[in-house]
Amino acid sequence: MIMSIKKLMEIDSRYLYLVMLILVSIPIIQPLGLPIRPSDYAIKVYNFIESLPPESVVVIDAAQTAGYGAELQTQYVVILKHVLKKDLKLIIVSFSAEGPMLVDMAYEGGIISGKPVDPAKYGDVYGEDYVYLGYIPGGETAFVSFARDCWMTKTDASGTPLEELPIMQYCKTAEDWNVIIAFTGGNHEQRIAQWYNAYLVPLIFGVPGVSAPRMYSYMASGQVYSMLSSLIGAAEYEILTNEIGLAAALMDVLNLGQLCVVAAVIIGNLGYIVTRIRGGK
Amino acid sequence: MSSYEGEIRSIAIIITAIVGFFFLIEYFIVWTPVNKTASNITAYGTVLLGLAGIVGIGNLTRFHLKNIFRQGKNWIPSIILLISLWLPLVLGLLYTRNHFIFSYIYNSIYLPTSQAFFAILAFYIVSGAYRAFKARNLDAAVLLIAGILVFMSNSPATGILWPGFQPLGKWIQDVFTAAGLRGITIGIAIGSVVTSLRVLTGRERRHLAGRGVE
Repeated sequence: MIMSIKKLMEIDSRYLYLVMLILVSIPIIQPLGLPIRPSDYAIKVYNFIESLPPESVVVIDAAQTAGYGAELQTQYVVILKHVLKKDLKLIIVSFSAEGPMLVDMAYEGGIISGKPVDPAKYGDVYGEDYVYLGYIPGGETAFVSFARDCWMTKTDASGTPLEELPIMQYCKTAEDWNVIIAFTGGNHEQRIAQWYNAYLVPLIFGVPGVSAPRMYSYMASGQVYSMLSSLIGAAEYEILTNEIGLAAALMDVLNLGQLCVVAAVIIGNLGYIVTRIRGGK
Repeated sequence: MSSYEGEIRSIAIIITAIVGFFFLIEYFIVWTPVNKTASNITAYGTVLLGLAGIVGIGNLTRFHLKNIFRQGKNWIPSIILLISLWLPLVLGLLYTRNHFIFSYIYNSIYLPTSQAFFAILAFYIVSGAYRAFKARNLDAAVLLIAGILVFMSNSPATGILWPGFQPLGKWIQDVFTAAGLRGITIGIAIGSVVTSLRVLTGRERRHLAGRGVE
């Protein structure tokens, strides 16, 4: 018995990798449709956007990157759809160099983005209802500059002067913003300092799973209004907006992957405890 | 350090102090000329930071070109690095990001590679969880139980097993995680304030390639 447990404890890692690979592959071949229950955080974000009066200015900081792609891009896409669906003024800007490519991908569709988003489907016109200002380098200095002067780029991402875009009349400084939603894996504190602390603009974050724990203390203090966390946040939001997309489809993969890790911890510990009780090392 | 270098460093310290204190005071002042000046300076700062990228690219290129010509250590990866750096850069500058080769490089090479690196973590986590995450003592047991509960709360399917996982995980994160991270954050903030004041008063000079501090 001890010997078999010892063998189990010393199992080759490649078998564990194989189990994980098989488990996460199953839902890709045959979706399981495991239930998703929206969390309080996702509901709070949804209710906030729903409660915005018509023509409110929503700023999206599309600072997602390829590495965090499946987590942040799916969040970005579902929030984009929700904002476009409402009568809101959407200003999109990127404070990460990869932002422009991933913003484009949302409209064109892609492996981490799902089906293309068509703003025309929601009756939105570029320059009147939404605009993309492109990438602004500089980190925290750029956060400050943009908050002080939203016209700092002079043109949008495709080179059209901002004077020719009617939507920009709604957005001159951070004082005009009704909410800012930032999809980012880093520099959260700098954004909080320069946007919420300086202008008291409600700040919502879309964060990867690894950054979520940093948000709890800021949400408790009210500096961050709420957040979408990881792929699950995007999936919950898809359920809330009834825009089922890539995130909900990928949740089965995440679910089985997480259950595999939990099973590994439990089996590993049972083996350890039994070995200890029987006097093994 | 020569007297010339010393003078340059002194000028840098004076500029840092003037600009730093100006922004510190400006934060609390509502007066258009001052606020406008601050806006202009931050806009210049953004441009300067963009230019700093060019300096970085120049240095990286020079370093790896030297390595290639000398056939030094890892000179073949240096070639790959330079191609990876310059090809998208030139294509982006000449044709913008909409060019099909640029899109191909990003969507078909960079994106899957980045995703794959992150995805590999899943395999290491399951192996690590099996081998290392053991309840060897009371502290480790508490950490293990809390970890499993948070993990289960983040997996919506576990709600089928027991609906209490989500509220319990949320409670752990809202209370214990928030409390712990608040302490860390306050510590970091105090450290940042102290370091900033040392930089503004010229007592911290390492960012100017100085050897020591006063």
